[in-house]
Amino acid sequence: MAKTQRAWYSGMATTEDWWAVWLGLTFFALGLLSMTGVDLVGWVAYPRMWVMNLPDGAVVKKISTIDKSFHAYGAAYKGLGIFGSIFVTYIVFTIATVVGAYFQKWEVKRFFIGWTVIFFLTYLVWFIGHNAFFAASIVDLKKGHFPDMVTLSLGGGASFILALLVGLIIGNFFKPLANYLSVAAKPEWFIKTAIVFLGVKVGYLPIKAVLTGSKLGAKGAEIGHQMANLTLDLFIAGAAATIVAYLIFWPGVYSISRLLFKLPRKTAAVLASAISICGVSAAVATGGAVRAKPVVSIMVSALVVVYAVIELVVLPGVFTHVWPGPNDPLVAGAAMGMAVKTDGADAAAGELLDEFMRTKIEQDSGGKTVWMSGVITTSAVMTKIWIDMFIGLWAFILAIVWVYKIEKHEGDKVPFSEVWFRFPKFVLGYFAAWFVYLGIFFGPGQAGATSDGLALLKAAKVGAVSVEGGMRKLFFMLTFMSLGIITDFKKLAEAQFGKMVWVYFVALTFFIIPVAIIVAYLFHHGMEIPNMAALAGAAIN
Amino acid sequence: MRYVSQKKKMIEMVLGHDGKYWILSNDTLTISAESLDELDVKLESALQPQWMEEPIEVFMTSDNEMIPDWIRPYMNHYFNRILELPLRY
Repeated sequence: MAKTQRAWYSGMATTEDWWAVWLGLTFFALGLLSMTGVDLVGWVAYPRMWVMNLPDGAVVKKISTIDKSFHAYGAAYKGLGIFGSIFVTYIVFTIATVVGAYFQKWEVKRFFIGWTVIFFLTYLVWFIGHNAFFAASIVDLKKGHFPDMVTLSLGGGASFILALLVGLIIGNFFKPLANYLSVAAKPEWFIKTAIVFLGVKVGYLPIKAVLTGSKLGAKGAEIGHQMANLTLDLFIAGAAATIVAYLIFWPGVYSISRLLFKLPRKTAAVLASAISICGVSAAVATGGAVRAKPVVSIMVSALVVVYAVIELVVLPGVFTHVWPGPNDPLVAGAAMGMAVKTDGADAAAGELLDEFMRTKIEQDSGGKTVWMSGVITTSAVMTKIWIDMFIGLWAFILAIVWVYKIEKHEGDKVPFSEVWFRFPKFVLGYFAAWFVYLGIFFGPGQAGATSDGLALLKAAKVGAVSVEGGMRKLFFMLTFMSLGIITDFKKLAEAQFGKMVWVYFVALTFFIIPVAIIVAYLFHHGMEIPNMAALAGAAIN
Repeated sequence: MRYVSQKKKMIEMVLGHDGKYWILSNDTLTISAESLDELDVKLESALQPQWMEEPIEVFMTSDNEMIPDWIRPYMNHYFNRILELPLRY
């Protein structure tokens, strides 16, 4: 039976995009219930940095011993212990994802087995990645009175890199296993769900700021306002990405494809959209808009996926240590959103950048500068979401131009409903989660200016942290692992991409990335992430 | 068949692609061609008795199965189009 999009509600029960909304909003709603005094999300298992044994004189601060390497996020569930919390997390998310798999008409049994393997492999990698050797910074060691020891100082980024690495090993060296797991390795579903959880994070940022600075009285409330304003500033500045992607990148890459590499018009259009706008979704949308044979979009999409993984591996380190660096963390985040072309790889790269940047600034400043996690990720995702939202409109305009101006097809109409069919639905979940928490902050929470407001914000925090912290990070981990599993580099060598590989390389390296950084600088330079160390210090003093 | 505001009859069909040919079908008709232009001409010919009375519109909804499984999570829609018959181009 044909799968078609005809009604506005088509795909609500059967597509990953919509299921990211349902999954994300379900746990967002459960998290909200903490305001009534019930914590229904605190069971999620989250790792701590660990060592086998504490050295003499060391105390447990950020680094603990192996027997405390995982914990349930919520205080109400501390009794679950390591294995209890992991087991409950497995049961709850297995039920949620299997229901999703059933409605999406996947092989449920195979999904269940694949999901189980991926889930426990992810937790194993998460555990290893939080060993102090990989994750601890010098500051973490000093705080715990640890003696000098060699560490890679990768922070939470170590787990992400390991997950991607393990996934890539499976995807490239254990292909029958990768093929079996591919039914459950769904990076787009996992990352879109994580982005809905990120909406909780963005809404929660001002709450966290005001609670951290609550002992400062009116100053604490002011800091909450500042954080709320920063998220709104990021949102507005992110609009710049739309202008850049559609009006600078696209004509540039189209010209490179046509003039330098002499590609056919339709192929150049599809490739320009993929490299400039939002990768695979843009390649398919543009292929449809110019009515190219599906094979054009398919080939370009395969190229995008491989390049996106390469960018994910390379760019966070380059942006942290070379340019733009920790002096401009939000410039780097925003540039990431413009340069990396799939939602999964962009959000994952943003998260990795977030970990690298925070670890580096904390280390460079000797612990005097501590940034709240997730702000840099937010800047990367915000720009990407802006780009994503307009792909439907762009494809619609392109279709009109193509049909009436280039092919001159009178009487051949493009339905306006195309804009909706190509709209990324997970964005709705992201905004809903963000604005509800923002509404709680400014509404009944009264921005923490009164004791009643502060009490409500504390209750909201209980549910929010498990979703924006524990669940978001878990779904990022699942994304890294799944991305690796489904990425087969050999396909790049086998496929007859020809010139397209070089167009992609030239456009990305010499045009997209530098211009993205320059434009991000113009719109994001000067935006500062509040220093939580100074805030906490001031509160204590 | 149903009527739309412009009082034109509308016929619904599903548009797919098998790797070589565009395929347009509904319960009563299936046609295929290598290019869309060629497909439009064949469609015009097949539906001639209907548009001879008055102009009609054909709503083509793309069969998204022409997009491989692994791509659909990124974008689950190719394109829909409405074509007036007789052809005007």
